[in-house]
Amino acid sequence: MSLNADLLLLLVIGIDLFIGSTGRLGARIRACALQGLVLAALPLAIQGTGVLTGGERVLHTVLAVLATLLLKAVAIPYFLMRAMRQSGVQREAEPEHSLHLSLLLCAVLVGLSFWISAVMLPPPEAGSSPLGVPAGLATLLVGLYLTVGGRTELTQVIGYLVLENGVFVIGQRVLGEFPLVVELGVLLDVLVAVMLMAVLVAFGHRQDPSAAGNGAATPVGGAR
Amino acid sequence: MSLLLALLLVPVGCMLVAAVLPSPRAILALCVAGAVAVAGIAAVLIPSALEAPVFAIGRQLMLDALSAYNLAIVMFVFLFSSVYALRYFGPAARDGSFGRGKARRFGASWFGFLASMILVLVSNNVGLLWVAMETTTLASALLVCLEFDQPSVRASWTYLMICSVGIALALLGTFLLCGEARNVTTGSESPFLWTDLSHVASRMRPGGVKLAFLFLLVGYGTKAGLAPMHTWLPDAHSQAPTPVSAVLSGVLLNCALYSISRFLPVVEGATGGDGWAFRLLVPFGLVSIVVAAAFIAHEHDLKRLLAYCSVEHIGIIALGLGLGGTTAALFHTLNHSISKMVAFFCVGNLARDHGTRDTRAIGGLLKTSRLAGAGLLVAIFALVGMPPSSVFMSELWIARDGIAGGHLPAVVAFLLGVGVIFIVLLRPILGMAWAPAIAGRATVRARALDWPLIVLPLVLLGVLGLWMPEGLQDALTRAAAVLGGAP
Repeated sequence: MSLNADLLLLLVIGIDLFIGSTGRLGARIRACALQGLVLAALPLAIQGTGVLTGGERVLHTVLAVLATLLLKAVAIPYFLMRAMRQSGVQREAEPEHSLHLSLLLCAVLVGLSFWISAVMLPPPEAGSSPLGVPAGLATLLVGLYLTVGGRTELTQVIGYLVLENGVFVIGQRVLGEFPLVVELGVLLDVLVAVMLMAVLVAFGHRQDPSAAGNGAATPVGGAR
Repeated sequence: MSLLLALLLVPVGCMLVAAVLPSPRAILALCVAGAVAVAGIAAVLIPSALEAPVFAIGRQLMLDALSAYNLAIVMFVFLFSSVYALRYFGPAARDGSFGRGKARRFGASWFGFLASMILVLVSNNVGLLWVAMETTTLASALLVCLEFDQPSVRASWTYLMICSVGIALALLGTFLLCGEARNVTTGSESPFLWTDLSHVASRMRPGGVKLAFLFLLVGYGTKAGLAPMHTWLPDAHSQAPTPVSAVLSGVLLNCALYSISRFLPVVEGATGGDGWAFRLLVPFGLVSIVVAAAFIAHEHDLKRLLAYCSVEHIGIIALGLGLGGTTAALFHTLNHSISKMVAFFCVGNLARDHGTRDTRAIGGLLKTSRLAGAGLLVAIFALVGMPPSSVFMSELWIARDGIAGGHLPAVVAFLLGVGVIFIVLLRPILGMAWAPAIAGRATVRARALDWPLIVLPLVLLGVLGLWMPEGLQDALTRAAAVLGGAP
């Protein structure tokens, strides 16, 4: 079995574009799960699957891959799906731009990432995938766009996840491998953050479906 | 087991115990007892850490002079705030409105918050530092939405979202920096440890390190509340229960600024020591002061006033670092934490006595609630930099160091900004003091516990303004030496 890093990174970019082009939240969450799956496979592709058959780093790699798989492809999408059902919001409500424009914007962001990587950054070392930095940067920018431009809270959470994925792809590229305690710590933090966000989203919609999370000024408070 | 490890494990233990204790009052008592225990451990560790760094778990944990100084501030504010929490939630615990579920949520998050702040200060690993910083966000977001009503959930959501995204950028900065370091580390050196990073800094490529620092500054700057990334801060500070506001404002912002300042010597080492990283802090500091002045002028909610005042003071500390007054900036950190903590305590009491935080609806401050009213007045006088408070001294030092370093325009802008805030912050507070008491509102007597909580820190502020103890001077010098300074 061999995994091609370039192919996986192209898949990551493809998922970015897909998330930008659909207004259905369920589809976005599933795409996010798929991106988590690809991310979990990335270390195997970069270091070669040979890492699984021997060497002292086996345990480290296996743990990192399993943790990413479990959290990013299973647990986090599960909590997001549940929050979506509880809040009753299935679609991106009245998108700021039409979906065509949103897709176009994401495509521009991807192009921009390739341009920045080609013009402004030093060329990649021999033997590493040339797609690492542009794919990571594109994912980061698309994530940022979803967080800032998202009309529903769930889109913002998805944007945060996509952004975090982008950071990880770039980190993978510049660092090769993270210390295990850092990688697991980051994953755990992201999981708890998303769980907490999901609870807050669901609560906000139970209380007041129209006003939740739109950042309206809080009134001068009482006795707190 | 080393003491440094105990410093982390005791709050974690308290967190687990608080999550299962049956009675709200027992949980509040545990908050105080746990804080005393952790403060005791810190008190034993800090003097030796000021002499030479203390390590644990290989070299993953480290307490050096800078982190020891910050740890002392954290423990001081946390201890007082824990006692205040007992005072704040006590009546509600007796009448049942502070129920078991809420109390458990509070106790567990309270100690989780402490543990994560301590981990920020003692981690020698920059990755671990990031994990700890994000954990402070999670624990404090839980505390902000403790009441779980519409405004607090919304504030908590804004806080969690903005800070998580901001901190994700700091993670990118961390990866980029460590990636640069990985290219130059040899043998047993690790690209993740402060202690090694500062050794290899001079061999790293300046361009890559600068890019990394930009992400780190924006990322951790969001958490520190530097303008224009401060937008989460007023909501979170005003919706949180008052003991939480005191810790958020008094020490959480410091921890974020500490994370930024830790990177300064590394960046300086890589860029040849021309002060690039320090200069970058100056505009952020000045913008924070200006933005705070603009918002304070139009704010009527007491807690939001104090929140914007935090933006101002974090700006002043960043400015102090940027202008070369490292010692002054560290001293200002201490002064701001103490005065802001007391100000929040007083506002909490006032809001309870008057049933509102609106400055226009409170009158006769010194008649209806004498201790809290007078305490707030004195704390605000200190916060606007009136002598003889120590805030005045540290601001004076910052201006002096700035002029000595040849940054006259920045110092003039700083003094103008502080002058404007002096006026716009005192106006509503003095208004509350002079306005006639609202009819029908009885005088509220302070509880015995209020006296030490409010008077002791204020006395300390006055004493530090007039006399600098040798031990503190020594600690400041040693902590500042870790950071170096702008040339």
